[in-house]
Amino acid sequence: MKALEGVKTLLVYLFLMWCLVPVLWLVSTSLKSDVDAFSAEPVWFFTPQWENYATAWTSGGMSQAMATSTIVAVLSSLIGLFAGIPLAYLITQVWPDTGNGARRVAMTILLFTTVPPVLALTPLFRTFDDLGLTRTLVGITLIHAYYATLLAVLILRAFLVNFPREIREAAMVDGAGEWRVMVRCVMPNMTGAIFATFVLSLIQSWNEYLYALVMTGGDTQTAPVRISGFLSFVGTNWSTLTAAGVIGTLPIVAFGLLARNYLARGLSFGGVK
Amino acid sequence: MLPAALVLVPFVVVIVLQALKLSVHGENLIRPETAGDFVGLDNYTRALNDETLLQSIRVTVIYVVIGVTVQMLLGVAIALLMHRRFPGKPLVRALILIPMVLTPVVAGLTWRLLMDPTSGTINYVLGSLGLGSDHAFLANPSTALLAVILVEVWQNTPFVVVIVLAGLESLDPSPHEAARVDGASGWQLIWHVTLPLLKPVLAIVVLLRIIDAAKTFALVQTMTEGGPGTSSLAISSYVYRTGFEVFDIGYSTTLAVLTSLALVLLIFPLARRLMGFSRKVGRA
Repeated sequence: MKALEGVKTLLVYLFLMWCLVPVLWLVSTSLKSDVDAFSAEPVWFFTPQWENYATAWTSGGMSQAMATSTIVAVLSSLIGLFAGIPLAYLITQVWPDTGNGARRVAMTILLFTTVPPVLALTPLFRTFDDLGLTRTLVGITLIHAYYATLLAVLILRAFLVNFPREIREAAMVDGAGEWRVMVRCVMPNMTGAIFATFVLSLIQSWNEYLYALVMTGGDTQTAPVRISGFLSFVGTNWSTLTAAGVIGTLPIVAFGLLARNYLARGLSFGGVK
Repeated sequence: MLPAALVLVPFVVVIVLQALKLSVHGENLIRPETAGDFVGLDNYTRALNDETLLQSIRVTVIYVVIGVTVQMLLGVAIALLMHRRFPGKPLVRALILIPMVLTPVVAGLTWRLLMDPTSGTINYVLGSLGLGSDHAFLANPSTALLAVILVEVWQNTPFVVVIVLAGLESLDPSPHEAARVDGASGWQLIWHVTLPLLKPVLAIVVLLRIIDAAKTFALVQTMTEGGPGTSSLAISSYVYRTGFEVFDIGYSTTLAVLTSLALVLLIFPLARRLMGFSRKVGRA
């Protein structure tokens, strides 16, 4: 029995290795000289070349891309929350007793979520291009805000479905309006859910590539677009590329790890508690 | 209601109207004068005879089926192995999240580096095992798609582990104990008690993975750009290639409309059922 437990633990740690080794390889390559990074035989011992990071940050333009990604991710996630909270409140607290409206809205949001993003790619590009919103932060932020709103409604609805409606009813009897009830009585009880939503929308926006590739350019490129650009125009200088990759993912990985307790609940849209 | 409507409604209106308009026009992005070329249903009839469209559907189906199946099997197995006390559990639980939150573009590029035919470490390891050290995994039409699927599995198995593990921890332990008292053990417990109880969670995980895998873009684009030829060209990459590399934005829209429609018709009824949206939200 003891041996079996040991084997189980060993298997789990093997899985952990499988998850981490590529990431460690990415980090170690980012500290190698270009010759070592591209050598046929792996180089195990080397002096860390911190200047790879300086190159990626300055001449590689990662400083600008990081600023762009931060602005886009934070703004779009906040818009998602501001738009999503009232709708989730409406369909779980206000409407459930009056007909099918709540169910229809929830279903519509789910439908929009299942629609693959490629459907909107060319229509949004054509429209935003006509409006002069391509290659601007406004354009990509708006698109990410649309997806953040869908995500927020789905996650917050899952949390609020089981929220006791008596609280709202009592407050209404005391004469409070809907907005006041939502902000004063319901929202303070769902800070965890709001934070989970915020974390997941940040990750979603930060990692998004399809729209970012089409809608941004030059100094409005987000981190993933800038990183993928190292492939072509530097003629694949692997040490700079990997340094850019580490810079570009470090904040979101760190943030994801810090907020890990909220991930599982938010990710499954309330499928697990 | 109002703030969400302000964000969502304009988008939906624009997407639907522009998609319909673009798909019946023959616009080419680098020739602005073509924007008004009405072509009727030509784009649609062209799509019906498009070998590459068929190929991209085939690639996406293979990607989703193999990718999600392997993720589920591996993910559930690891979650079951982790559902007990063992040294370092909180740390393991945190660290396996890294591939999952890693930016897909970076994941794709990291594996592209590892799989490089001349300097890739995988080839070095295979070489030192006597299995040959010059496999061009990503340049070989018969392995390119599998290589991308491998990275899909690497990145998203932790998602399955995290949610299934949370599901396991929220299960009511009493059926488990009752079965144990009745003499069930090991595999019997897992197969006849744990997995059936876990069914609702598993269903949601499968669904979310299918929705996500079907729109794969970043991994394909950074690892193979759909190539060599069309051997790993998933639907998103084909639409992107048609619209923004060949600049045939009208036809690209038609491809997106047809494939999205097919996908939604396939997945939405399933999603509605599995996520409990079809029953009326009752009073808690």
